Amino acid sequence: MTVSVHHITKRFGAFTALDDVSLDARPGEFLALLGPSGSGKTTLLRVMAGLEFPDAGAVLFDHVDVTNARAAERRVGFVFQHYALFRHMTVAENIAFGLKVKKPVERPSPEAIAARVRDLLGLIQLEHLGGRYPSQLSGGQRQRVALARALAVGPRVLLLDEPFGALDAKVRKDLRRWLRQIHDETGVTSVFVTHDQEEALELADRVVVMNHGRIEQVGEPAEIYDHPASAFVADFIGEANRLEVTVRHGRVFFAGVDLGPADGHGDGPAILYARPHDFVITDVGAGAIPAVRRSHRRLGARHRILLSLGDSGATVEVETLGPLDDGDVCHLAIQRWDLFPA
Amino acid sequence: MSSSTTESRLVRRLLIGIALAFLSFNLLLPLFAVFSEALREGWQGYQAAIIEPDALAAIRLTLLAAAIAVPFNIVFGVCAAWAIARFEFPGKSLLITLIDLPFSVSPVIAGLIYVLLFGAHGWFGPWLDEHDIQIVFAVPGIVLATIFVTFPFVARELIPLMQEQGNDEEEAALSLGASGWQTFWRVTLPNIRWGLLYGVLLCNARAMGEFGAVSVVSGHIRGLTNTMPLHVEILYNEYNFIAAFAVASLLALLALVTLVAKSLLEWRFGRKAVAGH
Ligand SMILES: Nc1ncnc2c1ncn2[C@@H]1O[C@H](COP(=O)(O)OP(=O)(O)O)[C@@H](O)[C@H]1O
Ligand SMILES: [Mg+2]
Repeated sequence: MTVSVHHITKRFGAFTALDDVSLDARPGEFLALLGPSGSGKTTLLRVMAGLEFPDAGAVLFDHVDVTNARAAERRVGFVFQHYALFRHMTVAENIAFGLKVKKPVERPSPEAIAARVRDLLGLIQLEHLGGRYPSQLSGGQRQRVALARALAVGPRVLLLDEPFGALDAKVRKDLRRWLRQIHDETGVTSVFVTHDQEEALELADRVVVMNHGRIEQVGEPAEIYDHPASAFVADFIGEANRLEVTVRHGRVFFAGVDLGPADGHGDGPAILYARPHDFVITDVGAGAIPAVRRSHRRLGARHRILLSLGDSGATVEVETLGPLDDGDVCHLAIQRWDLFPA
Repeated sequence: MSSSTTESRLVRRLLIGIALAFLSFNLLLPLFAVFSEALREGWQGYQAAIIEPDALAAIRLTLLAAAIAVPFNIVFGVCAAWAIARFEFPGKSLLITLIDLPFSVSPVIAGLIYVLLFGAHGWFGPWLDEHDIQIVFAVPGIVLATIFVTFPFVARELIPLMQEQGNDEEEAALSLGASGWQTFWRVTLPNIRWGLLYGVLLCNARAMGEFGAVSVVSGHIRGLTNTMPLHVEILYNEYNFIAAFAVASLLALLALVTLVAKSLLEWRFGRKAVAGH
């Protein structure tokens, strides 16, 4: 199913949490809402679910306007950040809830409900824990129960708010691969919120980058990473070095060094973003910035080398570049960059 | 080191001793006195004092007042707690303060308010008189006064509980297709049931034991507008000690039962809280 939001604005008092947001989640898509804390991700998800109502704009499910439909009428599966399992019900009762509250004419028979619960317990690999209470489960198990509970009613769209936010790193990784697998098996359109870009880039078909209640960019993970549409995205996604440059006569200058063509940017100050792996050591010559190696750090398997650039006071972090020691002098060239207005 | 620990042990024993002595003197001794006085002429005298018509009428009235005040408080308490815990609205802090009012106002004043409103010379007095409705010095006044003094109990118990639990589970229920009503019965109520029961217990004890407010609006008409506490006072003033203490012993029993039930609930509560998080 296609989930569309058109020009949604949502205010809390004088504060604008969502500012004219428009977005489509395509049928069967796994869409990530990514952004810093407070950027409006949860609010947007809750507007889609009918747990929050917009001040302006429309929500459409398969082109049918559901803006004023309550959550109960929308048939969405919502997975809450803190699970929100019913604490006085067992795991099996939690999963069965959505089926048991159906109107008598639509409600499956008790046997059918029990069978469905058994299937879902199998899907989340907790067959033997149906009789436990939520308080007797680990965080990862609770989150899986929350997912099964949401799937039980056969939702038209699955909405997940930081589904792994409260879990430790190892469990997170396992669980998110598993979630992607479940998504591919069920094929239900899914939107999930995260502030973890690695999670978004690894898992999602498309990523929506949000900031201050607005959408900065929508695109496939590679597109977002390789072609950030704004300075915010360039800065927020991946590691990026930020350099203050000047555009003159259609060329980019940093500390007097001509780096190359500015690709249509107007003359004046600009901000350049370049990834650690976009820097190479080069000989003295065109586009070469004199640099001094300052220090080195390791991030697990990766290495980062910190260099200061000429006497500009700017520093950059780059990937390992051959045999250099702290204090050595060299020249750097930037192979790829993104340029934004200052 | 040993001297300081023996010293602190001594202090501890002394403090515990003082507390126990105080408790015995102020609580256990009177309790014992009530029962021994009530049973001074044996079981027969005790029974006679209780099945005497005026005493029975007082018991009935007390039960009636509690039977109206407690359900009223359940409904009011749940509504108020829900509104306060779930919504932001202007006047919210005023509502919280108002709920506490009966705790800070003398019960006698509470009674007088109703006399002022509904008494013969009160605001609504003439109108009530015209329509032949009697509130003050009649059963409705007693019920109103009882409701007034008891209405913080359930709400006060539920507000912090519902605030702490948040509304995640209710939103989950709604998103799973449950109606508001189903959500209330299947999710909200089970989550607050122990707190609610606790509040009801305290509310009931107060409803049955209230003296001041009820005394003002009662008019002390024997067999008609006397509740148990009022009946005890009248008997006592008539030097009918055995009967007075016999009826009083029923109230004391109620207090004991409440105490035990309260401890059981607290025990249950405590275990729940430990298992919950
Ligand atoms: N119910 C609410 N009342 C007032 N402000 C809110 C409410 N919900 C969210 N906000 C505000 O809206 C902004 C966006 O919140 P949210 O959507 O939760 O952000 P995110 O999920 O991206 O961290 C935050 O600044 C938050 O304080
Ligand atoms: Mg959030």
